[in-house]
Amino acid sequence: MVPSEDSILTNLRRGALEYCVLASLREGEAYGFDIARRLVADGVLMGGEGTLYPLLARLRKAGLVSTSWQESDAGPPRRYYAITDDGARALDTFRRAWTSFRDAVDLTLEGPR
Amino acid sequence: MNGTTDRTRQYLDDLARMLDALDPQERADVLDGVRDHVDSALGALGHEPTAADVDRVLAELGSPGDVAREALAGRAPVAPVVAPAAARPALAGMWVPPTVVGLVLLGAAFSVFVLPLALLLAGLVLLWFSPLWTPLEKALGTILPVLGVGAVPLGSLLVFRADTPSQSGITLWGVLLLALLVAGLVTLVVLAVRGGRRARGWAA
Repeated sequence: MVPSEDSILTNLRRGALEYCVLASLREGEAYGFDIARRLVADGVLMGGEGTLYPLLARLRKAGLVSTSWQESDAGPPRRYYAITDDGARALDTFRRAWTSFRDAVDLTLEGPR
Repeated sequence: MNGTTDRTRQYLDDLARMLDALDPQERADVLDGVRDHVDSALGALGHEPTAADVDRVLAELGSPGDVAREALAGRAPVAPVVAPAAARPALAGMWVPPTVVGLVLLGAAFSVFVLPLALLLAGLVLLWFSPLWTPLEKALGTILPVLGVGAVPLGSLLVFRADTPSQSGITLWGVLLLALLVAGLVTLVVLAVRGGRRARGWAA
C-alpha cells in the first residue's frame, strides 16, 4: 500500500512540530490562538489548530515553555506562552540536528549526479 | 449565545473524556488551552458569535479525537502493555505430564497383563491429545517407552527362560534390552520435564 501524503506528513511532524512551536515563540511571548494561526497558515506543519495545545502542554511539562495570564482588551484574560532558557537551548540543539538531517535527506533524495 | 456555548461545552466534554488517561496537569493544560483558543477566536470576530461561527472555530481546531490522539501520542507509557493471558487449552494442565509418564511407565512395564495395557493406552491417548508436546516428542514418547520399558519383562522372560542359550546371545540380548530400557526411561524423563515446563507456561 502506498502511504498517502497526509500520513507521511503526520509522521514527519512528529518530533519536529514541537520545535516549530518553540521557534514561533523566539520573538516573544504569544497566546495560543496566535501561535495556532501562524502554524496552520501553510497547511503543512499542523493539520488542525487543536493539536497545538497538547504540544504546548507537553513543552510546559518539560520546562521548555512557561505560561502567564494577561489581561486582554477583548474578553477574559488570556494565557500567554513564553520560551524558557531551557527551551531556547533545546531549540538550538534541534536546529543543528535538523540541518544535518535535512541535508542528508535532500542529498539521498536527489541521488548521485 | 446559549446554543454556541453548548456546542463548545460539548466539544470540551468530549475532549476531556478522551484525555482521561493523561497526566491531570497536562490534561488541564490542554483543556484550558483549547477553551482559551475558542474564546480568543470568537472574541476576535468583533460581533456576537453565531452558531455558524462556533462551528467554524471548532472545525478549525480539528475533531476532539484528533487533539486527543496528539496528546496521547506523546505520552510515555505508564506501564508496559501486557498482553491479556491466553486461555489455557484443554489437556495442558500441570497434572498432564506426570499422569502421562506414570500411565505409560506402569502400563508398559506390566503390559503382559490386560489392565496395565489399558493404562498404557490411556497414557498414550493423553500424550497425543495434549498440546504440551511436539509431534516428534509424541512419536518418540510412544515408541521408546513401549519398546524399552515394555520389552524388558517380556524379553528377559524369553532370554532367561531359553534353555542354555549361547553366552554371546545372552549378552547381546541383554545389552540391547538394557539400551532400550534406558532409552525408554530417558524419553519419559524428557516428556515429564518438557511437558511440565510448558504446562507452567500456561499458569499464572
